[in-house]
Amino acid sequence: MTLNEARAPFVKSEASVSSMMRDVLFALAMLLVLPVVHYGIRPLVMAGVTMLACALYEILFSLIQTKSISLSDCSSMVTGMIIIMLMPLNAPLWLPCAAAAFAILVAKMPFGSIGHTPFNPAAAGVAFATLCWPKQMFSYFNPAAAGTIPAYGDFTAALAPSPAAVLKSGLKPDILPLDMLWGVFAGPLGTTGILIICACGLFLFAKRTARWDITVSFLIVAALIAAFFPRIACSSLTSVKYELMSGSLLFCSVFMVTDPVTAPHRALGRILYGAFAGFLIMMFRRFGAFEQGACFAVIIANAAAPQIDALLVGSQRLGDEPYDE
Amino acid sequence: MTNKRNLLRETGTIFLNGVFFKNPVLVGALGLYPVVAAGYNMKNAVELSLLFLFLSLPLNLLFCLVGEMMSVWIRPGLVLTASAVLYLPAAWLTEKLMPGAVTALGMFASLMICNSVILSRADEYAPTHIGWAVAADAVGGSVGFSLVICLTAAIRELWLKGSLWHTNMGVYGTADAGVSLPFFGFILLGFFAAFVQWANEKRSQKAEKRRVPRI
Amino acid sequence: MTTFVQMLLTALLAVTAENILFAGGIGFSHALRAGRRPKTLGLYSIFVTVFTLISMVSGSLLAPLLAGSETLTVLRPAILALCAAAAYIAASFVIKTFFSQFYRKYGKLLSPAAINTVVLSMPYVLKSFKLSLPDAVGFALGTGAAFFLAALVFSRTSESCKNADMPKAFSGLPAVLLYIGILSMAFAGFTGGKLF
Repeated sequence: MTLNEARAPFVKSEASVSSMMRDVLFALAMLLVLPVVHYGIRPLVMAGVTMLACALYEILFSLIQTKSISLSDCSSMVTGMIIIMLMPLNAPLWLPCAAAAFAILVAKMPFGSIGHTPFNPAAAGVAFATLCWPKQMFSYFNPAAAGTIPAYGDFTAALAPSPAAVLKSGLKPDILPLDMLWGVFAGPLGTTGILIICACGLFLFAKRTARWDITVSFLIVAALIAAFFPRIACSSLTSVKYELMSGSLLFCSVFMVTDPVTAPHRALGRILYGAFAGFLIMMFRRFGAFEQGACFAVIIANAAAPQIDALLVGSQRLGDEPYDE
Repeated sequence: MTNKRNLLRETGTIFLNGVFFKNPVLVGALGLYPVVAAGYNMKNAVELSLLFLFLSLPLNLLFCLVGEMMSVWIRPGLVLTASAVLYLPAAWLTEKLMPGAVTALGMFASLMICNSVILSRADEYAPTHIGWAVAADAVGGSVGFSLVICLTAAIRELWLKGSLWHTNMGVYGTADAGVSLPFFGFILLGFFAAFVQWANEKRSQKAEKRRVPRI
Repeated sequence: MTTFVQMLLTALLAVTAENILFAGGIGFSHALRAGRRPKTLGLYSIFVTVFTLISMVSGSLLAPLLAGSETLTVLRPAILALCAAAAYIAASFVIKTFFSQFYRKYGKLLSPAAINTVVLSMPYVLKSFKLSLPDAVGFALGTGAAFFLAALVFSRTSESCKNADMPKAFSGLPAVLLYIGILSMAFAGFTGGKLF
């Protein structure tokens, strides 16, 4: 019997990495529908430019490496789409391209591309953009006063604080939780369509592309912290509604923490991992420097994933010496 | 004559190893703190490089002379003690060459006393090697450290402010203070280390091809 | 009780928002080396914690003395380093004399644990963050825990930082440095800027 060594994500024979990535791309594309209907073709332009940038960076790295170019798994497209979903629509086009450059050239390709990345590349790219250009990352235009939104160039518009920013300052957002379901409020491009995110999540769980146990444990822990330690003066239920629907928490629970490459491989491990990530994201919201810390929380959770696996398996492996003394 | 030529050649090799092929920061993963935390502008980089040289060379030469006389268990403590004492003239000299340097650097300068490159070379290398080798190693390591910190600082300062040593270079500095954070230093070091590793790999491939097989 | 809670909170801050390793870039050379020896990682971290505590407490006790005179202020870095050297020599002597078997097995861990930037940065952290003695003790203990967690994370990085699919140039240390950079970026999400 020949044993073939496979690399993550470990999929059953009827699925493949390409089919999983196509499912995720499809789900992410659905998130673009409402913004396109409300604001014109700019979301499509941003998504197209970012995905193209991701592909070009991957090709460039492969050429330097003198390795064969392979984009068929669509992983770089998924990275590009996730990056754009976490950015404001009024962000300049170079911003997602810069995040994409970091995601592909630093967080993905040097580690051996898909299957070996220790961190979610999109989370790393967005974290980089947040630290280097926080003003551009958290300036959201007011949807009510948007006017005509240009497809390509920079545009100035009246700004509005996102519900996440308002919660961070200890105040209650103006918008009612029920109204947040329709997605017409200031925030990152792909994180405001709450109902669509939920539908995408169900789609990915049904296709077994994403693991529901990670998302459920993530949301339960986040909800419990929101309920017992609300950031604003309101009932526990209202606090839970605002925390789950503001910022990129829900988007992160469906599209980022469920990354099969960086998540633990065992069921109990995934539950612990999801819970830890949920705890982290709430800590970043409360104590972090920025109104949104989803990408930072995902990175730290990714670093903890091998430890969680090792804890459950109970093995200790001594690695090779990584460098000369 | 042959011995002198060999000694010079070996000294040269030791020096070049310290500068590039076995760069203490990029190959040994030592002395990371000043590069990532303080190496975000050229002024800091040059000041720390000078301090490194003025501290490393006398400390290594001292332990080349007396290191073997000490017990192995007590030597690290004595190396730190000597480093603490020699830090004072080193800081004074750096301050003389660049007034206000040590005061401005603050904690970054003070922690050079326990820089892992300096201490590890004084404790492990210097006591068991001859003076020429130790001097070459100390100077080579200093040059290597300086190259790394200056290159890192140049990139970060250019990107942050579009300037080098507070002189506008005509480049638009686009990034916010994020690039002056330690994480960016580590990312740059990762790419530099990859370059050195690639160069070493090419070098060993060439050496392998040049080797004449014995019949 | 309040003092204990204060210490605990400061310790928690030292692991998270004020993590001097990831957010400050301090002590990685030793954390990487500790991670390469998972079997002695726990003991190494305990030694680091003890010496960090000694450094913090001595820094706290010496601070009013050193602030008194301008000459002593100039000599401050040297004096603090001398105290750390004395602590190492004293600890080594005591363990070597009274616990010789333990020393023979684990003595090699003492010098890297006692002499590193994490330990020697404590008096500066004390001054920078204006910590009271209970806070200082909590911070030192938290930093020891942060060192342990960092080394534990690095003990697993060999799997992702050395594989057949990655470019040879990045295999090993370069990938480890990128790994540290990305993780450090995450901790910067707490501080938003420089720690010191």
